[in-house]
Amino acid sequence: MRHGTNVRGMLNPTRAPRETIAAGLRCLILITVFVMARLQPDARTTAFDLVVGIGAAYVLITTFIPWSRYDARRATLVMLAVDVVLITALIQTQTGVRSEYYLLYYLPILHASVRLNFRDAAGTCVFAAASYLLVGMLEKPDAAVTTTVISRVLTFSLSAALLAAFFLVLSHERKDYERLTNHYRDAMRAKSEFLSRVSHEFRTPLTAIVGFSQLLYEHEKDLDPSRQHEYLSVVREQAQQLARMIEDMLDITRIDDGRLELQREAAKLSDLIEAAMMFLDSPNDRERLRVTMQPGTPFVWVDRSELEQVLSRVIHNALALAEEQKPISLSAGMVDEDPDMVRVSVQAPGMNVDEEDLSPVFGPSAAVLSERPSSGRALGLAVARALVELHGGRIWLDDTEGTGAAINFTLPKYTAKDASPEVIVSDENSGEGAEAYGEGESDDSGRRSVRAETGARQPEPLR
Amino acid sequence: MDDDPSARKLVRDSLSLSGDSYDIFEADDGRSALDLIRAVRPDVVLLDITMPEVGGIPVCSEIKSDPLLTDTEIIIVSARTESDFIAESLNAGASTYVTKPFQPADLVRRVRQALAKTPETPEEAVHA
Repeated sequence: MRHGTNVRGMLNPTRAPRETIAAGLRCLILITVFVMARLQPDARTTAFDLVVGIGAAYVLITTFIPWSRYDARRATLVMLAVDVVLITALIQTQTGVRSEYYLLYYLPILHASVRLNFRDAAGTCVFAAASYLLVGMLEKPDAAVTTTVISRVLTFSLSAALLAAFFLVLSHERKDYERLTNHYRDAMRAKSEFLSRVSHEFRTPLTAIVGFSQLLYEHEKDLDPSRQHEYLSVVREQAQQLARMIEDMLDITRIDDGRLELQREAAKLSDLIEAAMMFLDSPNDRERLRVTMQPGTPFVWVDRSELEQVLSRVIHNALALAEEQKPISLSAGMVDEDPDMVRVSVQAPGMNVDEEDLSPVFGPSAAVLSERPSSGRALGLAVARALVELHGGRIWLDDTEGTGAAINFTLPKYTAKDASPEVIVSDENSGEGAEAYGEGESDDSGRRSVRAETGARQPEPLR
Repeated sequence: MDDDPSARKLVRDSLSLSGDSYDIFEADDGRSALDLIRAVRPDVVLLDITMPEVGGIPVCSEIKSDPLLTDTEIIIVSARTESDFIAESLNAGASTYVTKPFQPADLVRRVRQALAKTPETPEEAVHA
């Protein structure tokens, strides 16, 4: 039955290529032995050299072919084959093995160091040296020559170790290069996908800009002034949206390339919020934002301009995602579970988490930029998340069933150890209470340059 | 059908300012668009592809599988420019694919062409 399987395998090499190859090799060995047995002694030696040479060349070539399969078992098999060759030569010639045959022991070492790891290469070196010693002793088993054999074995071991080390380093370098190449290829693919999605997102505001401006141009006389004004308003809003998206894309590229270095300073959150509100498009949007600061909210240790970007994007998105014209609330305070962080939460009534493609932005992975967001809105939140994480905080979405959702993020609290002589924040309102930083911490250095919040302040509505 | 109100307004105004007379109906998602289309049985439907929940291509397939809507012409108006999307839309039964941004006059021309294919043309188009 087994024979039948092999025959089928030989007839259909695609179904069983290994069996086919094995059967072919067995035939080849049988033919070789048969031919060699019928040769004259001199010719027999030449034929033996030829067969060994072909075998060695096969092992050498396949060692360096990247797609050939290699494992530790094969290295052992190659070594055993070398043992068999040498012992056969020893028995056959009666006068000792030609020294070139001992070079065959380099083959399994080469093989293991090129294709396998350090452990396999070292193991193969040890076993090859042991085999070398054994065959050497079999060859000339008198005490005087054994010293010569040992010295040859030592020379072999040293050269084998050097060879193995050389190829191990080479293959390690090659693997590093391959890893880098793959990483680069993945990054380029991600970037192309990102650009393709972003260009798609750009088309949405562009459609309104191109379409309404064209209607204005073509039908100026047919449109009454209020319609003209309406069209111009749409063009203006969409142009602003487009400008924001371009800004977001540039920011993402900047963060992605690692070109953004934070210039941290101690900052008061309510100042940052006020600054961020200046980015809002209309006074109506500003009216819709309710800000509440928990009493004693400490200063945060942030890059002021980048954090304004975070706040403006989060507020802008919450306003856009909230139910029509409903106010949104921003609250800030300490994080119970982490005393080193300050939490900011923006609650939007009616905000539907599933409504927009926000899941990639707030997904479990920290690699926000590799999960390229697919909507223009998510693009802004992706920038916010990247910036928050660059500050050492985290950002997440709380879905409060039926009432809306909240975008939350944490920021590091300013502590005295963060202060450096270069970082001095001017206190333009020093009269407000400069005895402490935020919650009443005193500055070890005795410096009073950072504006402080009074510890017992009531919730602070900005409007 | 488009989830972006400004895009719906642009299509509506492009058609109404063209000088032709259309009855235009709007929908902002796939489900309400299908209900509207089955109720109104329009001559032409303009669909966006990328929509929350039910997108334009499933709506397109639904229209084509409805025996009462066999004469309805479908125009896809989408920001997706990939050939896969265009092929998928045309396979689903759309007769034309317009990419955003578009020129209003070009959209009107496509609607007129689509209306010319319908058996009776009482100058009625629907932007569902």
